[in-house]
Amino acid sequence: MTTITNTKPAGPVTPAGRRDPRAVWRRRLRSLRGTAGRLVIVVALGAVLEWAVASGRISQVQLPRPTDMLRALVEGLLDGHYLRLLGVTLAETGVAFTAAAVVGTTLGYLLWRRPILGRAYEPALYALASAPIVLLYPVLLVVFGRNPVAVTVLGFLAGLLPVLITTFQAFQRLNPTYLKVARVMRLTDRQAFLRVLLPAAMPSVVVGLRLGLTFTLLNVLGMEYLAGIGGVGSEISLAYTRLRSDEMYGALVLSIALSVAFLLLLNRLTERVMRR
Amino acid sequence: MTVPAAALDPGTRSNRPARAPSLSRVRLAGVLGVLVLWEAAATLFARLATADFFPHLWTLAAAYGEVFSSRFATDVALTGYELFWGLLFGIGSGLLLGLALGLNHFAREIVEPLLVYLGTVPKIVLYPVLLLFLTVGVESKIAMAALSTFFPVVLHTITAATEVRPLWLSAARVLRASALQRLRYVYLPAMAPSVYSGIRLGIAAGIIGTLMAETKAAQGGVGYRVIYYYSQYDIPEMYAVLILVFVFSIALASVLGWIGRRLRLSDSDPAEEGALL
Repeated sequence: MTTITNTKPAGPVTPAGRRDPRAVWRRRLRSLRGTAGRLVIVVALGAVLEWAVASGRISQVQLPRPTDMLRALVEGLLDGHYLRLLGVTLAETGVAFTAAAVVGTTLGYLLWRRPILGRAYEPALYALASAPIVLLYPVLLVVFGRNPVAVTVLGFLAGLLPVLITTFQAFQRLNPTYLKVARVMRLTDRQAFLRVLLPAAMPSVVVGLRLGLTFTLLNVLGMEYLAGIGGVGSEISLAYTRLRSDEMYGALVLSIALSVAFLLLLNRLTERVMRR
Repeated sequence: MTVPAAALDPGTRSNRPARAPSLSRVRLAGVLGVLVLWEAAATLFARLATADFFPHLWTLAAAYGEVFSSRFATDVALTGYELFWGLLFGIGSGLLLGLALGLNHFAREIVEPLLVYLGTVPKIVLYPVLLLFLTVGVESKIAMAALSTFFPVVLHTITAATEVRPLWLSAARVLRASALQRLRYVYLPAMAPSVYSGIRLGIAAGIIGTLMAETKAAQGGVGYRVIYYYSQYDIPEMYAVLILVFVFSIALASVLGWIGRRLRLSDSDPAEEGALL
């Protein structure tokens, strides 16, 4: 039950265990139809806006022509300005997520290993997960100054909770039989962890990491815009203050494209990991 | 070669409850630990430099006097007004479009992925567009709240439609249920849990969206108050307002969760809350 995950079963499977080629084709055709339909919608919307702006029904200041937005986007990409911004945003996201993944999985595991702590602090964690973490951005600006470090720390905080909670839950929901088998086979702690616990918990942990990465990117982009520091998000804010609406919309399209590309990539990646 | 079984199996720990510390003591220790650490940081930073971003706890408590005596209620009322209309528009449009798409298979196949992908874009980056069209007044915040609320609601409503099993519809047909009866006994109970969690997440997203918008450009409101104190470098007051916001959000989330459990609507995953920008 999520707004972000959109994983579908890998395709119809016949009782023999092999995929039915006809069903696969039908599925491909359907997804092609969907893509074509979406393309038509986007292009039609662009055409309507183009007409509305060209005929003066919408002011150029409020909304430049879609073709002008695209031109600003292409120019920004070609002269390297947008690539630099993308680099900053991706670096912030990368560092923040790596930290969140390491700290989150470790803390989640430790919380499970010390059940008393797990039971005591679980409700507090859930409560924090529903808190508006992004609103801490003025605090981080005060503590770390107006620089990308503050953005990275916010990304870390935002990504940490989902990773921590899902890791804790993943271990907690392990089939108790696995633990018994590990004990019967007289595995050492290390062996039990590497051979039994970790592989069993992995699928859920991956889901948590995915969620954490999405949260990190969202918060990084959001804070970049709000505080006007860092990469892609800050460009939107700066272009707005410069009253350059074509550049603002160009950066906006860039950040939308970044989030969408991220999600597409993540979907592919988790699908592959899950299938193994 | 003995295996520390207790470490591997959390269940066996209950064999010796006498020595295990009680939950409330561990929690109390946690809270005290945080407070002590905060005080230590406050003392340390006060010694080290002029940095006062860790105010002493008593300074923080005193800041509430300043906050409440400065027409804070008007800001709360303004944010409440923006939220009310924003949530109304967001939930209403989300439910309508979600139902329309959920019941029309063809349209859903084409539009749903579009909504899923747009749903992952941080909505706050669209705020400058709203500012250009609606100016800095309340309208842009209402639009921001509506936009943030819309996505979780519409996506959950579409999902809810898939939770109406065809078998139940055939059963209703066999029983010759009227349209109204089908709505009351099939559609509503089947869709309610998913729709409810959509609305819950939508409300949370709407609150975050409104407050973020207020910190960016506004003439009043709780978010404006936070950024005002930030710009004046009144750090304790800024913390005071932020703590209120956090307490309110967490309380609201738990009340909505409690209502959901009370009405026997399924609960969504806590890890997925938050970060609904």
